Parts: sequence; structure tokens; C-alpha cells
Amino acid sequence: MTWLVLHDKLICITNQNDDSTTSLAYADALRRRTRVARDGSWFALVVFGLVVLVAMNFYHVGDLSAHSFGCHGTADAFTCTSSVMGVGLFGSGLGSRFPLVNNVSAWATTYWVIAIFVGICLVVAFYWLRSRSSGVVGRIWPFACLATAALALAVASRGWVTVDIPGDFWQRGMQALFVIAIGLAVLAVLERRWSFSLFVAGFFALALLSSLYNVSNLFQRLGLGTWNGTSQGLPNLILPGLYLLVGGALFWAVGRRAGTRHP
Amino acid sequence: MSADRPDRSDRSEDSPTRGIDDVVHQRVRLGVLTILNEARRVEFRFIQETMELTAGNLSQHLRVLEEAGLIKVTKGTEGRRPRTWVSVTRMGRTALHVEVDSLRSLVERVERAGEAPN
Repeated sequence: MTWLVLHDKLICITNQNDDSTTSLAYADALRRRTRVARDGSWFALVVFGLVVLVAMNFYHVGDLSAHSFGCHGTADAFTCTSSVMGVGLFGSGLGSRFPLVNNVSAWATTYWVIAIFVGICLVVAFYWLRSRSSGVVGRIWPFACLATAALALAVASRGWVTVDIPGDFWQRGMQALFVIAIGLAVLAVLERRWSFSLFVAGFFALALLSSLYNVSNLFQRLGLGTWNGTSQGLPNLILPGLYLLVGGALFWAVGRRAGTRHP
Repeated sequence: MSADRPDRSDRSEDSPTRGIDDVVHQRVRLGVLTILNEARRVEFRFIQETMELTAGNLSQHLRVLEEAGLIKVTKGTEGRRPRTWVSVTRMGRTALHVEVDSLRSLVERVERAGEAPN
């Protein structure tokens, strides 16, 4: 029996405590179910994971040769026009056919800009369709606006090349990962979930690692294949891409399990 | 707050039931506010199905909450299908947070009292 002093009188409020505990547990279960019905963050992870993995197609092209666009001469001695190479962003110029970073296609930036924007649109569409079917409408426009703004800012600042960042931040052309990370961070704030926020913080760390370090060294040390020549930069995309895809699958599974629990 | 809400000024600062509001404390209404607090707006059907209530019962609780200024009910149509959307007001969010904090402190207080030697 539990006793409590209330207004100078000794009373027993054991049932009150049970009621309060049950009410809190009930409210907690309802909150979880509503979040599951509203949440589409796992879909954003899958979409952007695919965007990153598909980008690999633009990160293992050969070096410049006499046959490259804007180059002329023989196989042993050739010159290339580099007047537009300075407009580079995310590894190469937007719409330019001149690569800025070794092994990176000249179309990489064009791909990133289009793919990230389409990814943002897909996530917004998914949230909209989900709210129509579930009947729970969350806030998604801040994500659409801020992620698009981050993309526009990255384009305007040529992959933040105007910002004084030490080290070889721009040498691998991985700045697009930060645009995705900013978008996911906005989504984490909207979803109000610690687990998702921590996951996004992990992605920020991976984006930084991919920008500053040859992840192929890590892969080779772990015995995960050999990455030489034109394929050397691919692990820098495989790691963050798989991280997002696996994370998306895990959040989907966890959400599905939480949604089936009865309040 | 609405003028017809009960006056709780007679409860002392130290009272464990201080902060508990009869409008919000009722379990169904606490549940409705909890659901609404998680979204910008929620369809009537979702609340009904999640809480396993009849439409009439839920409507009564929603009316109480609406009259207290804690929620807003909007009726509309989507295509030919009528839809009722419910959203929580700022006052409703505050009332929910106060209620949950009060319940938590009440539970903690009773647990502490239970641990104390007789």
C-alpha cells in the first residue's frame, strides 16, 4: 500500500498512480502509432541511397586523352582547353563536358543537381500520398524548401568552393553528399526522432570522410576487393550509399513493427 | 482558456494533482490530444480507428475539446468523399504538456513515497 501526504492528510493514492501510469503508457502507444502513420523518413533514405549509388556511373571514367572533348594532339602529347574547367561543382562543371576531378565524368554535376531535385520531389510526393491514405498530415514543406535552397546554394557557390575549407575537400567531388545530408537533417528535425537524428549525424560524418579520404584504402584493408585506377573513387560513394539504403530498410522494419503494437 | 473550464486555484502549489485538468485528464481526450500533437492535422477516421471508438463517442469528446479551445475541427470534401480534419491549437499543446508533466510528477511522487520507510 502506498501512502502520500496531501493537504496535511495521510491518503492512499495507489489507484491514482496505476491510472496515471496506464494513461501515460496509453498516450505513449498512441504517439508511436501516429508517428508510424506519418513517418516517411525511411523512404527518403532509400531514395537518396539510390541517388548516391547511381552516381557511381559518373565516377569511374578514364583520364583525359587526345580524343576527349576539347583536347587535340597525338596519343603521347595532347593539349586540352581548360578555360571552362573553373566552373566546376561536385566534381565537374554543370552541363560542361570538361571534368575537373580525376575519374569523374563531366556530367557528374548535372546528374547530381537533377537527381537530388527529383529525389526531393519524390520524398514530398511520398509524404503527400501517405497522408492521403493514412489520414495523418505532417509537415514536409520545410524539408522541400530548405533542401532545394541547399542545392541552389551549392550550385551558386560552385560546391562551396568560395568557402575557405582546409584540406582536399574539393578534390574528390563529393560535395553533393552534404546537400543530401542537409536535407536529411531538416527531415530529422521535422520527425522529432532521436534515432533518426543520430543516423543523419552518422551520414554527415560519412560525407566528410568521403570528401577527405580515399575510402578505397579502408576497403582494401578490410579485404573488400581491389580498387585501382578509374574505380578508386567508387568506395567513397558505395559506403554512404549503402549506409542510407540499409538505414532506410531498418527504419522501415522498425516502424512497421511499432505500428502493429496495440495501444 | 475557456471561461467554463474548472477553476483549480484552490489546489496548493504542492498538490500532486495540480496541473491536472479534467478536460484533458479524461483518457480518451488525452489520447486524442496526443495523436493531434504528432501531426499538423489528422483525419477523424484515423483517430476513430486507432482508438477503437464509435463515431458518436469520438464526436462527443471532440466537441468537449473544441469548446475548451484545445482543438479545431474542419469539415471538407476530397472528391465526393466527405472528410473531417482535426488539429490541435497552441492552447491544446500547452494543456497536453502540462497534463503529461503532472501525470509524470504524480507517478514519481507516489513511487518515491512507496520507497520511503514506513
